[in-house]
Amino acid sequence: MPSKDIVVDADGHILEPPDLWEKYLEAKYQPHAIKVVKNEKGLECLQYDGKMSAQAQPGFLAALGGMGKEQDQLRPDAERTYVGCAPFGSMDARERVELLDRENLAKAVLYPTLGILWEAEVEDVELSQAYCRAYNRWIADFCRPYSDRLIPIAHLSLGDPQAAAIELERAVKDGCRGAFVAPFTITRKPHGHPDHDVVFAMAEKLDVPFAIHPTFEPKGLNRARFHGMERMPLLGVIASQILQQPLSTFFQFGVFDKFPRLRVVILESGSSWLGFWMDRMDEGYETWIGGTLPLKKKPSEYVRKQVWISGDPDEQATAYVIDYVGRDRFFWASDFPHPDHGGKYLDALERMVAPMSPEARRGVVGQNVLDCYKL
Amino acid sequence: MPGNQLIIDADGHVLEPVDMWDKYLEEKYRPRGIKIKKDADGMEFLEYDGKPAQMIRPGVLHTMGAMGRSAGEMKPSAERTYLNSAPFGSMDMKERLKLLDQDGIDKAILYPTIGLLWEAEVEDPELSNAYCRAYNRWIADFCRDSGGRLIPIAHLSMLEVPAAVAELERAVKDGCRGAFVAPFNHLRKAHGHPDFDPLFAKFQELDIPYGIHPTFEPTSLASRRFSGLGSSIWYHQVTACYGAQVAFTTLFSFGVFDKFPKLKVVVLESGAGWIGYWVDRMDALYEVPINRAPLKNMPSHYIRTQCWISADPDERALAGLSKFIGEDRFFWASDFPHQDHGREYMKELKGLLAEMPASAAAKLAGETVAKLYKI
Repeated sequence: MPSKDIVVDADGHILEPPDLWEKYLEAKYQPHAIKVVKNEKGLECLQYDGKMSAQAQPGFLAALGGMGKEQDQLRPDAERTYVGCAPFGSMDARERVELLDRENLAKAVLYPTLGILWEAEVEDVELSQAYCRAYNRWIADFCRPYSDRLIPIAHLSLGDPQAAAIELERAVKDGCRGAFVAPFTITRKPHGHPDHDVVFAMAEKLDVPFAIHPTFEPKGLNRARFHGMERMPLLGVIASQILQQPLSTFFQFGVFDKFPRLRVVILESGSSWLGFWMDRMDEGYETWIGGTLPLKKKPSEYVRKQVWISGDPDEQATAYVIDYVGRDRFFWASDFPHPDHGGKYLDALERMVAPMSPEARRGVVGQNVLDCYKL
Repeated sequence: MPGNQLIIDADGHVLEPVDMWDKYLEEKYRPRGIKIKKDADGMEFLEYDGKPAQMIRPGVLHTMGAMGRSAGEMKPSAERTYLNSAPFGSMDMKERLKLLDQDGIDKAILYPTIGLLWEAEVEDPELSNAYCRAYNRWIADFCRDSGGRLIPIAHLSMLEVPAAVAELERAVKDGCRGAFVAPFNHLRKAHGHPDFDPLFAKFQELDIPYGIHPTFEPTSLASRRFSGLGSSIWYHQVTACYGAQVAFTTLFSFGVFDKFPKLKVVVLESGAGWIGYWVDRMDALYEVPINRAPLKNMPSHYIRTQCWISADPDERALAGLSKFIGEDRFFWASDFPHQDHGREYMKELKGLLAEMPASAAAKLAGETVAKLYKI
């Protein structure tokens, strides 16, 4: 990487301390905290509100920091624990800054790990808000001593939009530089639904980006087309569909006209499809169907002004669409320390940006994140 | 566009004659044929197997050929009918040839219209196969005296593999140059499932392409991510590519391309600009040790050797992307006379070709599809 380019990881993760919710939840919710417990086989399990998680399999927690490890090191094993397997820099702020230094990264925008699992299984709206508040207080504290390097992002749940807006204001005052939501909502209301306007209005007022990050999802939202799809290799490729759906509802409901300074960020779902999606959204808009949309302009015009997208560094195609979509639209992200992406993200990033113009490269490796988050 | 450039529409549609199933179904199935009837208000409706179609409302069959019309012309109407609203070239072979001449198109590969609707609501395998045979006999007759300019493609049902295999062989002998399936089947068996191997073997033996074309789909397959988007036509339009993307991906999940190394797969009317992301992400997922796909090569290898994708002519992201994927992977298609695409397809195509190197433009315009279908 040319050393003069500022390099920023747009979406890195931390592993939350197992007792985060017990310590950071308000007292009345503490009996309902997220906990890491052991089952009769000695395997760690995740517990929400006193119930075992059905989606996080016993022993799975130890794999959450398993970036770059082989399959036999990720298998459930009583000897391997969430904390014991956490790699350097995943749980300690000072270590993380040291990791950034080693990798020549200026900053990392941080997202949770357990925080992207629980929402799929917790349907209690009030408790969801409390879980979010606890994480947000903790991540602000975690980043505080290194606030120029580690960027805290608040987790919001749209189940109660009023509460989410209040929490966004509180979290940003406390140091968070943006917020993210899951690609689904507890109420099943589309993201762009007017009931969520109060949250968009707050993000606009506070001048912070509103992001959508993939999470575990309630059973049955995806993969109904064929029997056995859950186990079919390569079907994880539909990550793009999972994020295109909430993104598209912003256009269906005219959110960008109502909130012309709102900034929306799409995370961890690939990036080179954004040109395709612009073309596709415009195409529908330009037939009679466009008349059914409450939009003043064609969808691509809003994308080029109000939407950013974070790519996987192993994406080769992005370099071939970036001039068309816009050089100021793309980030890259490490996904450290999660096992679903490879550990050699800096080598991959080199390859990703190699075909790009110097200006495009500078934007992708860091400048676009700095601009979007006003860092 | 250079005057001598070969231009082929890779996916145009016909409107089937109202009495096609009455005439072309084998006698025993005629009472159960697809019929257009009028209700008490004089509104046309479709009938399958003696029951009114549920997914297409009374009075809107006139919109089947409504490319380029306004929203006001899409309303249910007793005056406008399927027949009296069919545009020039949608129902008559000689007219279609004149239309191709007017547009400067050499050849068109043809797909049905009503044939894309019924499969979602007809679960009887025997009747489904009879409907397919009737269409296939008719489309071969329709194209027979076109001087090789109109290319018939057979419709296959996946509900009974031996019947599909036999029909493919029969239809190809009768003149069809390929066949397509819907992106779903009522068995909910993935397209790549080994039960379909005899069908892939027949495609390979006959050396003709296997196409996946979007159709109406059973409502049980609809995404359950959001509620309340029922009337959001634009949203459903942009996300209508998902079924074909998933069906296509299962061919990789089950290793179909290794078993049938000469099989040729075509993805239709689902856009093309997603394929760059798909290549990158499938390759990345293939390298993650968990649940690895049973493939001898990286997924991208099969895309670059055995897959083709038909683009909408207004996909501007394609100009860059074809440099990455390979300029011999793409077709363009008009979708004439369907109302979900615009009538300005020749203008759009010229715009897209102008942005590409001459060799890539010539291939996209017609050379690739001519070579693949041997036309």
